[in-house]
Amino acid sequence: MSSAAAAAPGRLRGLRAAAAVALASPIGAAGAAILLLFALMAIFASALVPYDPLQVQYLPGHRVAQLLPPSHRFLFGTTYYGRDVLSQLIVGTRVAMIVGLTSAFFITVIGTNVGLISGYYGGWVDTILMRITDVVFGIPFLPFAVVLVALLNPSLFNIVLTISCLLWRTTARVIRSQVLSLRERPFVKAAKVTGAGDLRVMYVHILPNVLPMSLLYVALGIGWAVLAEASLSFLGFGDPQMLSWGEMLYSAYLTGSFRSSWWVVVPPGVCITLFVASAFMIGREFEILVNPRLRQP
Amino acid sequence: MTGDRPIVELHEVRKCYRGHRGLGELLLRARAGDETWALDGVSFTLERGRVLGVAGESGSGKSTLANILVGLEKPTSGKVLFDGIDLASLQKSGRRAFHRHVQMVFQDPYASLNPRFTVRRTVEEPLIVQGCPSGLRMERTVAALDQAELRPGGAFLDKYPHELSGGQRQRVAIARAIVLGPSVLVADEPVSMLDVSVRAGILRLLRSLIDRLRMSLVFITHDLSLIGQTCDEVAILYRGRIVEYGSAARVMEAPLHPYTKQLIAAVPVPDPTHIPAELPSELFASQAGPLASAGCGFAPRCGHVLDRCRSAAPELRAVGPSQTAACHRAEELRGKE
Amino acid sequence: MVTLAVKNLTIDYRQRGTTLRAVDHASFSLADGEALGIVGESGCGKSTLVKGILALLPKNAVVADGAVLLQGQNMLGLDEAARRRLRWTAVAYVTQSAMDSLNPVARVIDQFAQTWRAHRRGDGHRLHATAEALFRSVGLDPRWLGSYPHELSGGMRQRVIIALSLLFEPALFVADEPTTGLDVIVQRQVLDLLRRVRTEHRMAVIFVSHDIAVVAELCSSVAVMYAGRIVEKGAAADILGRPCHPYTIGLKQAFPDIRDPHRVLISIPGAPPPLDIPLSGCAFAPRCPFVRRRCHTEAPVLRELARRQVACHFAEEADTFRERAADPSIWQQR
Repeated sequence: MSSAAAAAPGRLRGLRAAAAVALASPIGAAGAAILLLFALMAIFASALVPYDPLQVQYLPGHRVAQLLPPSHRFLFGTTYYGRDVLSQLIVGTRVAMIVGLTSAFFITVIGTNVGLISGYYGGWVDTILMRITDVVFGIPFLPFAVVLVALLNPSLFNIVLTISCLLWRTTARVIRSQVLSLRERPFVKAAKVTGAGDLRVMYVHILPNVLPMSLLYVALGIGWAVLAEASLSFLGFGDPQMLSWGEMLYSAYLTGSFRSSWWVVVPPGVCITLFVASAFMIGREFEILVNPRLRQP
Repeated sequence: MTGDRPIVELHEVRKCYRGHRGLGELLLRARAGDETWALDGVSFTLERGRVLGVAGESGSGKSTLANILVGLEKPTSGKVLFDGIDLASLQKSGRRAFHRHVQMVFQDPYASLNPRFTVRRTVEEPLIVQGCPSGLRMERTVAALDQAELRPGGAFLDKYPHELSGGQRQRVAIARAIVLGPSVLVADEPVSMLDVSVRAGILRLLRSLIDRLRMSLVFITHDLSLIGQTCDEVAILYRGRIVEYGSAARVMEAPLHPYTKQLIAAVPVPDPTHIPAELPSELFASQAGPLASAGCGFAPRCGHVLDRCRSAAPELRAVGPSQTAACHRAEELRGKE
Repeated sequence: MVTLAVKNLTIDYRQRGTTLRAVDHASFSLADGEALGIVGESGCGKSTLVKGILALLPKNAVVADGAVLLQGQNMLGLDEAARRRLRWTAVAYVTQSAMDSLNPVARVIDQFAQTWRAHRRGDGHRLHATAEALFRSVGLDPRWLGSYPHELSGGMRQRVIIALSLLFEPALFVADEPTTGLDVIVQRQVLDLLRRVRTEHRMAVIFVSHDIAVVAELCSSVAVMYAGRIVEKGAAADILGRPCHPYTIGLKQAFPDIRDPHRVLISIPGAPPPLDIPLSGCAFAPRCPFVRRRCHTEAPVLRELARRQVACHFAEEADTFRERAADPSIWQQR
């Protein structure tokens, strides 16, 4: 059944079918499972954390539990400041999910709309929008993000804003080329012949056909966004009030515990890697749906 | 609405496509790139309840003509009248109302259906766009499917295009075209991508819809063997101009214009004992270059060309009771190859 | 000399667990200079059949039975290297979209050179002269040899492909829908060319088409395919002039003739059967207006009748069938 969902483009109806596609292969299923785990971690963080992530832990004898390696009491050890790594890891999932999902959402919404409008209208509109996209393509992400975050205050909102402002560019280009070929198809002509206006043709007729591509970019966008946030945080431009995996790495770097204590560095690094990789794994399944030629016969 | 006024009239319709001008050229007011005249002075009338065939090869302008008839494109010059009303004079609401009356069936049955829409959604869409109340939509959708001979209509509602055969898809497209009750249907090569054994059924369906629903049909095709079957009148299009026009039976039986004659002679015949006619070698010269505005457009390829043909473009004029042809030598060459 | 002999060729497609029988025990033979037309509609298996003969089947297709003997050699038994040697030199293959298979960034003469080098060694200095001669024989001015494909029209490109395919004077020339999609005048030119090629080169030729008129013009013998089987086979004049199989009769009724615009065209109702379900009885039975009980239970085999081979239990009554077939009411949907 899931193979039928992948084989028939007309069949993609809503999240249920999208889920069927993602789970169709072991890779997609693995990616979905990992992301689900992270989601659960994020949702039930308060219940799951063994300790308050920001609270300094003490050993008997009023000594700070500083840089302790993993043990029964602290499963992933403690940081330089004596905080439980595991608790920080769990809470950090929240930031990853929030930043990942909201940024991916905005990237896709902005990118799809720009691509749709640009590809459909052509002419001046296309030229202007594509030149803007080209400019955005030319802007290197980290330096720009650093500048922006330095000008505004480093908050989660601004980080999401920064990511969304820049990373829609690929989605826009890709959706535009899909729209360029779709708008020549007779069913679009047929819609116009019934008297449908441009907006209707774009959003009711063409959009459903580019949606699978958009979903692919949602998946990719999650990956990009989490990586971007981690980079920003690692450089010290993260939201100081939100604990993220990138912040954990930043803190480890600042305190010099990078080299000496692997348990402060490896868990957040692995989490970032797993999160981004699982998003890409799901994206790969969507790509096969969008481009059936990638499918093995 | 007078009963005897033609439902569609075209007067000297011309359509020009200019090559793409870049920003630099525009700013510097540079000369425009190549101009192509897809239609170069096309005039005809379509009477109510009649079937007009438009026959032409690629480059003849038939697709442009189809687009102009359904209001997808505006002519560069000339007038298009629907029921006496000049299309150019219509405002937005008038245009929307116009679409209710003129609809189109396309060549590729699969590509003309939105792959994400069910049959029901596809046929319902014109009703939604034109503001049909939601209570009535289902009823009219099923009725349209029944009329397109997809019976029972209800059984097809939830199917997607990829689940249907070519003939069924085209019937869905026809149902979509008639659901608004248009007075004019423009069919652009409606059967050329269907299997041969299915074509006859679709053509018969179109003909019966014309009769039952009192519509008119513009039947655009490159397959001349269908003209005699389906059409009342036929216009032969060559490089944007009508070179011959008349009753379909007469034109197919006794064509006047050299191009029409060659076209008919060139069609292969399903009879192994038939020997194809020799066609003049000039005919196969490639039609490169822009249309010479002086002189007959067919002159470079015509086996009967005279000097006069190259200098003066022939007018479409009556030659015989129900035929017109744009050829200086039409009477003289009557009956000859 | 029999150039090509196909014996009981059977080809299956494997698709996610289901097996489709695209070609079911097809047999025919072709002599030098003979032109066979394979007629049928979409899904009948004609393209699969020729691809099977040329060993150009996709990975999920399997030759389940049969042999293909080209000049006595079994094509199916050869390995890919041997087949590649045969292709283009002994066998030419022109398809509908062949004109798009020209390399857009190479000049035409370069593509001749590439093809020559790919299949022969040395003797390159005669190439230009050969290419010019071939161009003239397909009605193209040799000055176009120096141009790029996009500078040529569709009809011209199709002729370039035909010229290319004749480069090595193959023994077998296969064309699959060579004129579909071409304009009327261009089609006429290509048809005239193919007729000339046929007579001048004395090759064995196979034309695959859904267009009976094209086949009538080009071919001396015809095989009609339906649902993977050859249902009627014989001389073109016999098959197309006085068809015996109900499907052929129906096809003829459905096909317009420009000389006779007033004949009523009749559609065959229904659709060909799905190929994954093994058929009991005649594949055409559900749509046949002359069907009887035996047709549902026993599959007819090709048998000699009226100077041809036909697979129908009641082909003796073909005269009556042809008369009755002109009446549209017997072709109504059941």
